[in-house]
Amino acid sequence: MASSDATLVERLPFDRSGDELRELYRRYAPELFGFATNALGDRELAEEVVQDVFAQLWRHAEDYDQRRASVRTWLYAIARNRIIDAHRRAAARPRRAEDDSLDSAAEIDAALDHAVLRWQVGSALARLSPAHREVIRLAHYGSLTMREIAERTGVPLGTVKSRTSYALRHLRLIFDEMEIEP
Amino acid sequence: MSGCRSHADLVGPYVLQALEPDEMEAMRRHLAGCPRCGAEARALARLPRLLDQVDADEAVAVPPPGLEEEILDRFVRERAKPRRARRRWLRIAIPAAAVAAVVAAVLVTSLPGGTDSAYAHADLWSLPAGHGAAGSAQVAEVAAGTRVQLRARHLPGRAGTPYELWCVRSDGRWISGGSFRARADGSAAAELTAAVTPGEYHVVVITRRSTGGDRGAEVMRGKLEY
Repeated sequence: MASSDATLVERLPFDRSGDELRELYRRYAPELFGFATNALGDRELAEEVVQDVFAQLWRHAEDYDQRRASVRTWLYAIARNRIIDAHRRAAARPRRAEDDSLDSAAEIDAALDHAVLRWQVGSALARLSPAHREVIRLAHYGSLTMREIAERTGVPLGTVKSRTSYALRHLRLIFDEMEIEP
Repeated sequence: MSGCRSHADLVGPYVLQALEPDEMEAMRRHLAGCPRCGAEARALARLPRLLDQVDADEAVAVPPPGLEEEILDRFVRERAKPRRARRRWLRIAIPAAAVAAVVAAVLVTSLPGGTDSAYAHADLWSLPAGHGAAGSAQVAEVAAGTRVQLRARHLPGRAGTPYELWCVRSDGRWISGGSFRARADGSAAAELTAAVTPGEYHVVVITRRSTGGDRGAEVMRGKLEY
């Protein structure tokens, strides 16, 4: 049986092989990287953020208190701080006309919330089957009606309609799993 | 929950406003009188707003494949460093460390291979920037990862010139094993630990130490023989 996140963090101070860290990395690095990339718009900076988050994790694993927050919440809190630091560094540089650096803490918070949400929605869509993703893409983003989708794809109209309903129900379930309130 | 038998397949298209105008109107009337379809429509109603958060073909960012190794490499190297003694023990710890260092030096001199059995060896040959340098690397698996025991001679540059050791994977990925410095006579001996998986790395390279994200010039290179 897989160890819980909290157990892995508890074992981290004694982890010499890197096995515990590797497991935590595989559980959380993709979403932290997606979050940081969305928040910073820069893959290299996002890599640095993820590296810093995991360095903080292994250096301060003893400080983690599972009664106060889940491991996920804790990692996101570290990532947020690193991203805010990156924004502050960007704001301290002489500003060019095309720069859109964020100024206030509220703006940064709003941008970070949006970055998390974008990553969550993007990864929820990625978890749908290609057929389900396709009908959502054509209907929602392409503004096509069911009839137009049926004509374009050659799929019977009834199938397109039921597929669209199933796709949305599945998406709703994924959001529930991710604890997103649709 | 799903809609009623006759209209269940229309709830999703209705929520996405993807029905024809007359179907949209008929569905609106149906929802007003059908609790099952009404509940389903309410459950899905906010999905379009969430979908608006991303572009149609927005790719989900995925970490680069080497990031995991880089983080683990940093972790293992940091863990391999001895923990700093607490301040109140410094008076005792410093003389004790000095004695331990002498003992360790004697052990290293008398047991050049260390206690771990080497599982791979590489003779290092000079590249143009090495100006005739030579050396060898013994690779052994240890609890903290993979230890590379390096011996080098005729290194170019002055005493204290920093160099960096790299393990190169067959897919071309370079993993730093850490840096070391040359002695005044151009020789160097170092034990470095890297989080590399045995058998995955086939080449050892010595470069000038990286600066500002740029890898230094290659000084020596050798193929690991397992």
